[in-house]
Amino acid sequence: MIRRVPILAIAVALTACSTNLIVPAYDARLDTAVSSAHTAAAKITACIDLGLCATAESFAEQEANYIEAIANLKTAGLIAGSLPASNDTARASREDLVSFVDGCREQLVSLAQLHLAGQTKPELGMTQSVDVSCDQALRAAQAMKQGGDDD
Amino acid sequence: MTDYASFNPTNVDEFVAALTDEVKVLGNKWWETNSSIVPGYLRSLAEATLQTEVALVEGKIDSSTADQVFRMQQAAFRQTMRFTKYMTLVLSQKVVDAVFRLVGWAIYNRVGFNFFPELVNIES
Repeated sequence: MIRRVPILAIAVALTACSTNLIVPAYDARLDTAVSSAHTAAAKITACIDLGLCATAESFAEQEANYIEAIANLKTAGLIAGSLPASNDTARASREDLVSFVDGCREQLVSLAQLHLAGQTKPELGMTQSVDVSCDQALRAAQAMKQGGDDD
Repeated sequence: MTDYASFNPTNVDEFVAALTDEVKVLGNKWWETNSSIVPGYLRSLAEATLQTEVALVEGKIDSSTADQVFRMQQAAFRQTMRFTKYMTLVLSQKVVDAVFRLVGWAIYNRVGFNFFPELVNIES
């Protein structure tokens, strides 16, 4: 019994500081929401890159993708913002995670405005920032998933 | 890679050697996966900026549209810097997890208690 007490004390102390110490733990709901948004956003930018979404009228064909992406990112932002974080460092990195999700959403809102104005022609530099921002949101959401490529 | 199920170090050197191996493997894999990502983002955004600039010069877009697109690119550049910092923190967290996974297995194999169920999967 005397021997077990220090081991238990150390283990309990280690448990308390081992989780969510630096970045929030992986959350499957966040991953699912950002993945869905990423797929919908990729369909929109591909359409623009191919020159199939160059007019204001073509917005209607992509409207469902815009709505799916933006709605999922709104949900993802709420999920990311409420992930458990036990200290200042983890809370700061949680804010980073939220900012990637919000960044992707803001890019899509801007793209939708350009699309509605009939400005989304290919090779004008309008899609890369959306692709980059949303790819980062997805990678960040999946970064702590166990069994991934970099785990 | 350490055989977790039989990991039962009897001295500090043995423990440190296993920890070093874990962190080294993790760091190498992480670096191989992520080292090319950020340069790829930067190249893509640089290409976009040039395209917008040329389009503006050639009159394909007006200055108001160019302003909006440049701001989107600026936001993505800024986000990329923040992303780089975040992924470094992710690696740090993974190192912490790798260390405590090993500590957890050592304790479990010694006393039969799983103090880190989120890291030590005794089912597998």
